[in-house]
Amino acid sequence: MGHSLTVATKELRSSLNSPLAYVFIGVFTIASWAIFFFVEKFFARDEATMRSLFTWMPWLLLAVGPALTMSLWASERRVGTWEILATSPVSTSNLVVGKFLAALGLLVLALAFTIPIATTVNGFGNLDFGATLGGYLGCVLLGSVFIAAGLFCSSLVQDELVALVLGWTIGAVLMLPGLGFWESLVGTNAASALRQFGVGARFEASARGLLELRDIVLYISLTVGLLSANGAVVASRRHGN
Amino acid sequence: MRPAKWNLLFGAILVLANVFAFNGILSNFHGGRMDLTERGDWTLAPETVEILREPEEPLEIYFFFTPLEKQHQLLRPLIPLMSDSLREMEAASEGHVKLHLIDWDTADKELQTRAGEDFGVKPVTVPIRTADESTTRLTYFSMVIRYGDRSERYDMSDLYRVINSDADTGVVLGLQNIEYLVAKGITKVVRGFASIGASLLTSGETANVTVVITPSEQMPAHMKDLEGRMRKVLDRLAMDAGGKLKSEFVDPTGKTPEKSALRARLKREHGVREIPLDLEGNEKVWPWVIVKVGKKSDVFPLFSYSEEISEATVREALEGTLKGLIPGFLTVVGVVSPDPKPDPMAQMMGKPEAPGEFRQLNAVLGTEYEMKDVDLNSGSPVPADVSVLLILRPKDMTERALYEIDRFVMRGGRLVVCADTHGVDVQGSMAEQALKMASTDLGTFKELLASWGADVGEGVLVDTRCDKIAIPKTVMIAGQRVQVMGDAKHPAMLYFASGEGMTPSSQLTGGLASVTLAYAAPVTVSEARPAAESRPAKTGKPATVTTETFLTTSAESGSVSDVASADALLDAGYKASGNAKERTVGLVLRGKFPSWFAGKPVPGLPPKKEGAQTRPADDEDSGPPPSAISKDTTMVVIGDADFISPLFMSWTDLSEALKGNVALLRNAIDIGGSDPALLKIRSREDMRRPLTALRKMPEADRASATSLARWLALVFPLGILLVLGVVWRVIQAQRKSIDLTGMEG
Repeated sequence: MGHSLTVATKELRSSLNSPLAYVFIGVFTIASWAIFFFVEKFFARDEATMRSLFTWMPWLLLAVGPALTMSLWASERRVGTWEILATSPVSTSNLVVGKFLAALGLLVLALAFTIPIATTVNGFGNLDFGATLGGYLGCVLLGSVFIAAGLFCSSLVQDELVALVLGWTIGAVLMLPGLGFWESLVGTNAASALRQFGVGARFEASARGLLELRDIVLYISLTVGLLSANGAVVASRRHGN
Repeated sequence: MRPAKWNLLFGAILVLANVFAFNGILSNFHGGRMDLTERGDWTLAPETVEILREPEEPLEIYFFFTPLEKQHQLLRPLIPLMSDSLREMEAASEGHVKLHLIDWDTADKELQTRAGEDFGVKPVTVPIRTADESTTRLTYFSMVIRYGDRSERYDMSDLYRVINSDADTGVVLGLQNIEYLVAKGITKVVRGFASIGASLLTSGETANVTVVITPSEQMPAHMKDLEGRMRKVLDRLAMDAGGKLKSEFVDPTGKTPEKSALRARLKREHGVREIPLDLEGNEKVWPWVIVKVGKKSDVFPLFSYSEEISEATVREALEGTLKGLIPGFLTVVGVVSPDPKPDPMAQMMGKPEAPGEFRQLNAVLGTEYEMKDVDLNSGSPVPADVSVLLILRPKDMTERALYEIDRFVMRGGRLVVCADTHGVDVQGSMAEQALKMASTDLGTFKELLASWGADVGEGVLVDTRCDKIAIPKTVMIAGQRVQVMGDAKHPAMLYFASGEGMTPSSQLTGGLASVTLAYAAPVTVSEARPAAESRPAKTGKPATVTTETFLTTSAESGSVSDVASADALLDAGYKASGNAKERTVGLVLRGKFPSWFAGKPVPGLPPKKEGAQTRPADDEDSGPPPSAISKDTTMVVIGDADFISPLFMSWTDLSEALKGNVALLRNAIDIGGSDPALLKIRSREDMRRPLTALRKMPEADRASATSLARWLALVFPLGILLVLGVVWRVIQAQRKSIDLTGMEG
C-alpha cells in the first residue's frame, strides 16, 4: 500500500505539473455550474437541493473519468518511461492502484470545486447536508468505475486519444443498460431488469442521499474487476508476453 | 493475437461476467441501506412498517401504468420513483405485502378486465407530445391496494402533486406521499372495510337493502348485467355481515293494480320513480337501491349518466351508503360554515347551487372523512356520529348554536376552529368578478372560546415573512398600456415554513413544507380579567387545559385594524415598527373543558314553572343539559379561515399553497383521534426545501442577488484553481524529482 501511495503521489504531482489537469478541472467546474444554474434553472426551481446537478453527474463523470486517465499508461509507452516502470521493483498491483488513486485524487479535487455551488444553495435555503454528502460519495464511487475503465483502456494502447475514446466507449457501455429507450424496445419488465446493470441508473439512489449496499457493491466490484483486468494487461506486458 | 493475450482477454471477460452475474443476483437485495438525508426522507416510518406487517393474509398492491414511451412526459419520471417506493414497502413488509407492477400494454386481457371490473381502474385522457406528434392518449396511472375481496384505488390525481408551475421552468410534478397513501389504504382495507360486517354485528342493527329494478329482459343491452352485478355485490356483503344484511329485489314494472300501488308507495315513501335514459324519455328504467339501517335510510340510483357501470362502481355506491348509515365507520366531520345550505328542491329542479365559500373543501376532505353539514342555528344538535366539529368563520351564531357546541365538547367531541374577523363577501365577489372582503363579528362565540382558553384577537396581522399573491399590473407593450396579471408579496399573506414560524415538534406542523394564512387574527391564551363597567369578568384559561403553539409570526410582525389597511401596505410596503413582535396564530388546547352553559338556562326552551330548565318531551334530540366539565378532548384554534377557502385562495392565485393548508387542516382534524400512527406518517408529507432566503428578499433585490451568487459560484472556484496552479508551479520549481529506482520491491 505504501508503494501505491508513493506512485499515486508521483502521478498526482506530475498531473498537477501539466496544465491539462487544470483545464479538465476548470471545464468540469464550468460545466457543473452551467448545468446547475442555467440548464436546471436552480433559482427558478426554488428548491434548496443539489439533486439536479447530481442527476447529470453520471454523464459528467463519464466525460471526465477517462480524460483524467488517458495518459497514465499510454504516455509511459509513448515517451519511453515504460521500460523504467516495467523494470522497477514496484509490484504491478502497486503500480495499478497507485495510478488509480492519483486519478481518483484528481477527480475528488474536481468535485471539490463544485462545493461553492453547494455553499450558494445553502445560502439561499436549508441544504440537506446528509443528502449532499450521499450524492458526493456516490460521485466518488461511480467516478472510480469510469477511472478504472479509462485506466484499463490506457493500458491497452499507446495513443492517448485512442485511450480516451475507448474509455468513453466502455463507460457508455456500462451506462447503456440503464437508459430509458429500452422500455420501448424490450418492454417494461425486461428494461427494469436491465436497469439494474446500468451504472448511471443505479446512481439515482445516491443522488437523493440514499446509499444502498447493492449499489456500493456494484461500483466497487466493477472497479476491482476493471483494475484486475488492467493489472493483467500490465503484468503481461511487463513479463514480455 | 498470441495465445497468452487470448487468455488475458478471456480472463478479463470472465472476471467482468462474474461481476455482472453477482450484481444481477444482488440487485434484488434491498437490505443494507444508509439514508443520509437529515430527516430520513427515504426511510419508512416505524408506523408504516408496522402497518405493512399487519395483514394476516397476503395483501396485494397493484400499480397499473402505461409504459414510459406512451406515458405523459411529466408523469414519466414518476413511474420509476413510484415503483421504487412500492418495492421498498414490499421488502419492509417481510412477505405480508405482494407487489405487482403492471405495464398495461403487456398485461394479459384477463388482468385488464379484472382491473376494470373489480378495481374500477380507468384510463385518463392526457395530451402527449413527442418529436413526431402532438395528440391525446388514454393512459393508466393507478394504484390499487387489495385485501381479500376488498380494494382501495388511488387514481392519477391522487398520486401526483405539482411541485412547480413556474413559467420559466414549466410544470414539474412530484409524487404525493406514497407511504401515507399506502398506509392509509392498508388501514382502510384491513381494518376499515372489514368492519362493514363487524360494525353491523356489534351495533346489533340489521341492514335491509331493497333493490327496485327493472327486470333484466326489459333493460337496454348495456344494463342487462346490472341486476346480476348487484346480486353478486350483495351476496359478498351478506356473507361478511353474518346474517345482519338482508336484501330483496323488487320489480315495480307491470300494469296490475298491485304494481301500481307499489309504485305509488315507493314514490310516496322514498321519492323514487322510473327515470329516463335519454332526453326524449323513450327508454325508462327503475334503478333504485333503498338501504335501511335501524331508523336511518338512504336511497341511491344504481348508475349515473356520467359513469360507466361496473361491479366496482355498484359496490362503491352501496358501501358508501352503508358507511354513512352504520355508526362509527369513518371519522365523521361536522362542518359549521356560513355557506348557504344546499337546497334539495333547487337541485331536483336543476337550478344551480347558491355559491358557497367552503363547499369545495367538503369535497376535498370527503375523500378521507365523512363530511356532514351541520346547521346549529336552526336548533339542531350536532349529530351523534360526528366526532370532530369543524367551525369555519363563525359568525351570527345563536345562543342555541353555542349551546350545541358546548354540549358536543362536553361529550368529548373534538373542535377545530378557523376564526377571523372578516370574510369573503361571496355574493359581492361573484357580482363584481373580483375578490371583495367584508368584516365579520365573532359575537358571543369569542367569549365561549375564551372561556376554554383561546382568545381570538382583533385586527389583521402583517409580517415581513409573507407570500405572494396575484395582482393586476399595467405594462407598456408596443406603446400600449396593457393590464396583465403579476405577483407581489403581500404583508398580510403570512408565510410559515419548517423552522420559520412552524413548531417542528408539533404533530400539526412537523414535516409540513409550508402554510400560508391570509388576513389572520392573533390567537392567544386567554387570561383572567376582572369585571369592569362595560364588560363582564373573564375566567381565563381553565387549569385543566394545557396549550401548545404551532404557528407563530416573525418578530417583525405587526397588526393593522382591517383588511383595507393591510391591502394599503401592498403598495406602500410594510416595515416593522415599535409594536412588532412574534404573534401566535395557531393554538392547540388539550384537557377537560368547563361548560359555558353549566347552571345557565338552556337557550331556546321555555322555562319550567318551577324555574328549573328542562326539555320538552317531543324534543328528544336536544339531549340532556351539559355536564359541568368535559371528557378529555382536543381543540385546535387557527386565527384565519381564508387559508382553507378554495374561493379566496384561487382568486388570489394561492391555489398551490392551499394543498399545504389543507394538509394542516387534516392534521388538525386528526389530532387527538384514534389513529395517531397515520397522522405521524402524513406529517412526512412534503420533503421540499424552499429557498427561504430568496423569498424573504424584496422583489427588486432578487435579480441582482441571484446574479451575484451565480457568478460568485463560478468565479470563486476558478480563482482558487488559478491560484492553486500558480502556487503549485512555484513550489515544484524549488523541489527535486522522486527517484523511483531507489525503491525496494
